[in-house]
Amino acid sequence: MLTPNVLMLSWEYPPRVVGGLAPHVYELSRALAKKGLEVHVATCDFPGAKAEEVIDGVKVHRIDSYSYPTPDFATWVAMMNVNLQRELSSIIASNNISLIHAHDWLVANAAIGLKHMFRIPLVATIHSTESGRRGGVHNDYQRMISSTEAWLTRESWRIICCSRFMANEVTSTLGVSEHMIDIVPNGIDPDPFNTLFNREEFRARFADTNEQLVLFVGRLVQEKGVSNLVEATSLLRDLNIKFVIVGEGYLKEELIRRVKELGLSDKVYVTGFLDQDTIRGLFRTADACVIPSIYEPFGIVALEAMTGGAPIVTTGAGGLGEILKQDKTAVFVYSTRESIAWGIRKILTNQQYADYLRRQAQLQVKTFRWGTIASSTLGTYTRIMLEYTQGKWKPF
Amino acid sequence: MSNPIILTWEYPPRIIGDLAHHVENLTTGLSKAKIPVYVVTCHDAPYQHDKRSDLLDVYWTSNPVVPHISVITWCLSLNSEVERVISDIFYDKSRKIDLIDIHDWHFIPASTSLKRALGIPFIFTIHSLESQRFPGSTSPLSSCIQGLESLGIAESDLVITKTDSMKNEITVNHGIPQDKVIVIPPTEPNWIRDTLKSYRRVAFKGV
Repeated sequence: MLTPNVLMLSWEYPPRVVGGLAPHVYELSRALAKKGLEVHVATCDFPGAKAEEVIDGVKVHRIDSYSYPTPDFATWVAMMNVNLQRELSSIIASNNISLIHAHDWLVANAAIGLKHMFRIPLVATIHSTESGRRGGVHNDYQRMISSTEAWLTRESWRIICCSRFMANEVTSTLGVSEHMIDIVPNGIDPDPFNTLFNREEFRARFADTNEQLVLFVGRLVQEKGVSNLVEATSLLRDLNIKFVIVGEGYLKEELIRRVKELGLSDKVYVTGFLDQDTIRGLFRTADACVIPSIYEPFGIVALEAMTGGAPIVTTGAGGLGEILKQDKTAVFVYSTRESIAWGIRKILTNQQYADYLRRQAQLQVKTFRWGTIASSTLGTYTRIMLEYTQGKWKPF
Repeated sequence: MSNPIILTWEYPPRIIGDLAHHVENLTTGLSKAKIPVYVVTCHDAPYQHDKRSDLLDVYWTSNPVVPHISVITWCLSLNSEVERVISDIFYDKSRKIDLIDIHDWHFIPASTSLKRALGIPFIFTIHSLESQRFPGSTSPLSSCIQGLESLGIAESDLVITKTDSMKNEITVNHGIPQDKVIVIPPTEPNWIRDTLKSYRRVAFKGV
């Protein structure tokens, strides 16, 4: 009874990958299944993906989410929850699900309703908040999302946050008591970084042999600070650097235009979307990886750079400051072009220092294996199930 | 017959159109017939219970999310709260809930989920359809409401309408059998008796 059968709800799950949520749920669910838990993941359907499948012991249910025309994203989310909830009753009943784990506000309606109908506990992971993503809530659309996040936390037995930074944000913006929150960081699977790999051949796809390769990976949005990196490139003309900026986002066209304005089109390559194997190859190849985030609940990109062996330059925003340590596993800089350029120069002009950061990072990142993260999550589950078992709130 | 739940987004003092008066007449009639009824409705106040008589309990739900950007988002978060309130009634009453009678489209998602999760059958009483309220509208919002109406018609155990023409529209447009839709005009003297008969048909599967 203390080891629950878990139903995870997440609107993102591979092959639908929008942000960090999909890889998180994918890896966490697999790691929990590996520990012997029965884990189900319910998510939206995706063209070409199977409606039902078992992935490394995890039972995945992709549920039709496009039956109804909807006027905007928030209304689509609400209707997606109607579909999820309708299909999940039989899955809960036939698999003796005893705990629901919701990831972010997008599945709140379905998760909360199912919790009450089956009288089973609900745990929520808040990966980020609307207030944090938008720098405050400024209109009714954002207020609605923020209010939904608050509702989800009120209805949850416990809340999981990926960093102390996020826990503070959830406490201050959603009014959650600190004692309700467990901090469980994100994890990383090192195996895909250890495949056979011709470094020189791969590198030649992105940079000349005499160029140093500086990497950015992330969504091209304001909160990632990528514009500051583009501005910093103009201060590093004296070094022979190829900047590779990977990702998609609303800033993409503006960044390309700015690079052109700076006359650096041959030195700054905005790649757009790249597959995971190629991105991992870049982490293994880069001479430096820049993480110039302004807002970062956790910063899984830091774990990827650490695992791949790319020395890190970072602002240390949010969760990054908890993963990385100044002059041990990263160079910390301010969110300005001058400071970012200074950090990059520090790594690229001192090979001994860069090697030290790389070695220390590769040692440190071992504490972020998914097996460890799953054990911590299981600790939260067990605590909830123990309290639930001792309480009166049950179906009968 | 014991404990039907009537689910409506209007009930006095919340009066928006004719629905509130109709449901009030229905609950008054059921009380006279000695049928204990729970009304679950919404009201902008904290969730509370109002025992109006030995036979009539009214439960107010308030939206857990404020504000909203559309009637759909408002309605769908309220549905989860309705599920909470009805589940609490269901467990408190040791499952002695025979059916849910929902009035118009607003709580179709909750009724569908409660049926699937807890096995409570439901009747969809249709006072008007989106296609009648906004003829020819193809706006995404209208399409969304029509989608919910279709869901309610497909998932419900019985549909009650007021007129033969509406019955005809529902059976033709939604491809459901004639005997799934019955007509009970609330102007007829025996409409409470007929409503009760339909409740028994659903609660006891025609027994």
